[in-house]
Amino acid sequence: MKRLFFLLLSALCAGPGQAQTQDIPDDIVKKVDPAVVAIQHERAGGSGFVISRDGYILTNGHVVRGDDEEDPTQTAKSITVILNDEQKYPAKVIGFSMDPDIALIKIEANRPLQAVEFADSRRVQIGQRCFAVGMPLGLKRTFTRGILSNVERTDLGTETKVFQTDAAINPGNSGGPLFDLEGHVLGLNTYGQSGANNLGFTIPIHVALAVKDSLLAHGRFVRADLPVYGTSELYSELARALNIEKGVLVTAVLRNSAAYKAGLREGDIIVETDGRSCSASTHAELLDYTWDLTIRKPGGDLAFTVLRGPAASRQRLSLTAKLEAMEPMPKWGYHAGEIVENRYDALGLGVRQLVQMSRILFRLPDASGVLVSTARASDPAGKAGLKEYDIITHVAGRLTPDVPTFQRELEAQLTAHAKAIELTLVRGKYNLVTALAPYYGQRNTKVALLVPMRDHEYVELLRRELIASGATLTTAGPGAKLNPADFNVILLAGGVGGRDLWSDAATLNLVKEAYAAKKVVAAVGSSAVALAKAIPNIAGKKLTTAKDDSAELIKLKANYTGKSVETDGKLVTTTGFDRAIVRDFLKTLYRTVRDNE
Amino acid sequence: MHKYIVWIVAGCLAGMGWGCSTSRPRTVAEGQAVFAAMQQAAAVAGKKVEPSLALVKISKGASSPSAPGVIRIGGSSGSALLYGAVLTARGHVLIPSVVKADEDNRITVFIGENEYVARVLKTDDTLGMTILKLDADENFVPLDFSKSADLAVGEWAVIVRPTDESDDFLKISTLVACQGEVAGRHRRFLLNLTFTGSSGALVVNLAGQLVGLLEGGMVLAAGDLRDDLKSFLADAAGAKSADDDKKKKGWLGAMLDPINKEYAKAKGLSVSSLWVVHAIKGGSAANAGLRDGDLITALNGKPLRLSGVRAHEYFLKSLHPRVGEKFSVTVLRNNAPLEISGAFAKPPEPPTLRAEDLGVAVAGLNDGEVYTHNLFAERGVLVTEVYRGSPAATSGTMRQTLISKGDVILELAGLPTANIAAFGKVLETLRRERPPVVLVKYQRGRLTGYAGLNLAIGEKDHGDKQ
Repeated sequence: MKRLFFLLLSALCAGPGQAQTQDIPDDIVKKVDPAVVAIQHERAGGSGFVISRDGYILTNGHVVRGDDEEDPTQTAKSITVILNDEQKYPAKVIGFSMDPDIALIKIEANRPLQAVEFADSRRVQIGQRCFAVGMPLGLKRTFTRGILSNVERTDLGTETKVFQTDAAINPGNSGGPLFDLEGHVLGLNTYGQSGANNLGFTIPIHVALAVKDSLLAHGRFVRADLPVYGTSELYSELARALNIEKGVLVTAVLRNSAAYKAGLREGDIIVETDGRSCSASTHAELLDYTWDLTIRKPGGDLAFTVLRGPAASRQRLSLTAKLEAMEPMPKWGYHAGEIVENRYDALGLGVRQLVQMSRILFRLPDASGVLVSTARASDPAGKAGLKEYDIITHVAGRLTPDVPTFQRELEAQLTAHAKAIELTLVRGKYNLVTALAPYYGQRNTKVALLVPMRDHEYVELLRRELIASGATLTTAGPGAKLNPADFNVILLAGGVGGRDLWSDAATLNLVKEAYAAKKVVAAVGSSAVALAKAIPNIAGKKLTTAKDDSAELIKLKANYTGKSVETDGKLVTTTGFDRAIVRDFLKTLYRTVRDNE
Repeated sequence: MHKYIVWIVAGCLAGMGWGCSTSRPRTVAEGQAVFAAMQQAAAVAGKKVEPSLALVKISKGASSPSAPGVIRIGGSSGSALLYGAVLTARGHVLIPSVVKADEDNRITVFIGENEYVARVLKTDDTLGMTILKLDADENFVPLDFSKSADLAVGEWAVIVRPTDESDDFLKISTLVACQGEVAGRHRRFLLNLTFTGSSGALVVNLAGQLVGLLEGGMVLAAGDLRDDLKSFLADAAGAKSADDDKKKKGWLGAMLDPINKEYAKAKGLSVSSLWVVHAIKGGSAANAGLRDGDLITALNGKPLRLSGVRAHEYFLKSLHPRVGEKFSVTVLRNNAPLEISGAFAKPPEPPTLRAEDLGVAVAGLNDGEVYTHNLFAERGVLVTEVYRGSPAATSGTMRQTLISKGDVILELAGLPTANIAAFGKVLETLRRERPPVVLVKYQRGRLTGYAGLNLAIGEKDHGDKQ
């Protein structure tokens, strides 16, 4: 009897006690665990979660972004998703945005996947319990729990408000989900605060899903906007000073902008948008208002009702404006930028397209030209006195209103080996003139660049750098009849399309003859296999190529080394993995040409 | 207090090399003889400048907190020790450092065995020098800059500096060799040894001729300093005090940029020329007729020298802008040479106003400010300070102020504030009417903005700067 009493007592204590001490019920753990994934690539990784049974996964933009300075839209090259059962799949990036920090990726699993369910992140409360799942510091399937400490944090400088949580968010949690206690996703864990305790930040899932829709439709986050005006919330003092209760204050309208042409003016108070009253008295409310416009479809009309004039005699006006697709974003705040740099490494010079947002952020003048984004001090650009944020308006006296024109005018000068290339530029309020003096270190090098018909990579980079270094460049497609005697270098461009060159008789013959004539032959990525096929007695020669094509080189008995850049006598090859490696390859190529002279 | 000059030939001569080649190895005796001869020459060489050497001690006043702009050497005592040279028999002393006039400082100068009180008479930021005036009626022995010599590469010289034995200062004079020459408005000779904290020490060659002053570890060529010192001294001699001197300081009022060397060569222009990137409205340059885009090739009849930033430095050091004095420049305008003359005017002093009620200090806008700060408003008042805890500083977000330094206030309470007077007038009205909030319209970069300031918060009288 006594024994039975103890058994009953221990059963009573154990049963309810376990339930009380398990903050996340077991069935919820089992429900969410399979939907959370680890993401790894050549640089780092993070977390993510499955949103559809066919393999779409949400994560952060910064988890999948590459580190290409020149092209910030590039993603990491070899992304792997690891499911909770340790199954690994290569992933393709559908699109990503850095603010809001969202990426959509896709895996092709051989089975339907467990997807998450979503909470309504517009209806959340401070103090609500939640838990995060992810791989902090690489520790997979880590659950941490806490509360929503704040549900409209706007102090971080993000484009939307974010949630703040005290659930532990560490590096590696990025992109992982924050769940409510029912196992529904509240948001994506994104930022932690270093040097602080229990300060994590989460992008609300309704924001993430809006971005996801855009990524799915366009491959990038297409923002809608009415250029160019600024707004402010009517905080208490501002509302009192303006003698108005509700609305959104228009603080700036750039003259001749679309907003100006639509009739908006500084000091207007927007009280209705598309017939619905609108108001913002806090920054969070303002971000909600602007976000609602940002995620609309560009091209659509927008009807404003505004109040204008002094309080005593305010007019009520109806205006109609057209939403436009926003220009690509420059690098700023959380934005890594969406504008590709056209860099001439040999000149130490990089330029980007000039957008209105750059003019506003960097206080640039209205001059028409291209924006200097790289000017290395030790190279011709630095010696010409160029600086970041200069606007180059003319090259050799000819207008350069955009990047293609700039490239054309500059390259015409480079091709002619001009000793000093006159540049006219605007720096702040100053008009300056200077001259670029390229080195032309390869002025005696004649290069035949063979470009695959399709899916080629880094051709533009090769072309720019060869011209900037003074090489005489002939660009041709497969099948072109070229005489090897006319060149020092035969260079095969890379990309998946390089595989077409493996069986192109004219290319193989050109390589064979050039090699026999002791010319330098070089190839990027997949095209390296064409060298191995064309050159007799390739056995034992050191070559490298794209990882996927390494078996072909091995089959041909070449010595595949896997190095990013490889040389063997007059053979120069590269994996062509990224821009930095292609630039290293060019340096090696120049050394080989010099040694071959 | 005993003062004297001590010459010590320091350094291992054999290690440094002799500076000449020999066809056969020297014997030990021959080497010793050369060593002794050099010692003797070095000792005799320094004697000629000895009476003109000055040791300058600047002591902080007991009540004074650390004052900016005063050079300090030696930490705990709160005093700075500098070296200098007597320039006139009346007791003008040159030190190659900028020492700002500060009544809390006590300046003592030791010459030979005597001690004198001195005051700052004139500083020249461009030259980086100061002239002190000794409070004494004695006749001093000035340093003779007219008989200076250059140093050839490999030539030996002696660094001479006074010492104060009672304070246990180090007694070092050093035999050095010239390793090269750095071009500039004033050339500098590079030495084979590194020196720090010895600015103002004199350098003579082995024949006893003055070579220059030690500055920044190099020897500032006395020959190149001669003309500048002459006019510097003339200005200083006419000045009653540093404040008086400041009043006479002139202003060119032009923003200049050195021509790019490659561009100059390609266009057949002088590599020493300077572009006038902007002649500020109302400035001496603009008044004389200089225009944006002019290319300056000569100043006061003398062609500019050097290239790049050194050409710019050369120009500035040659300018000597004094109010009322004339200048002339030769420029290329539309490829044709043009002689432009003018007189230096006083630099503008924009009116300022401190509006504690709002929590800002503002200054009037002028063309120079607009260009220098790349402002997008040409009318308004420039915010120069925002006071912590004030209405202008207190927003709903930490570390973000409603108004920021560099903003241009365009309107206050709905009324335009095109200049300080207009701003002051609106401020007066606000002070009378005491509204609880006030609307401010400002320009920040390319965009305008609005702020509602809560006048019920913040200190009214003063506040720390933002």
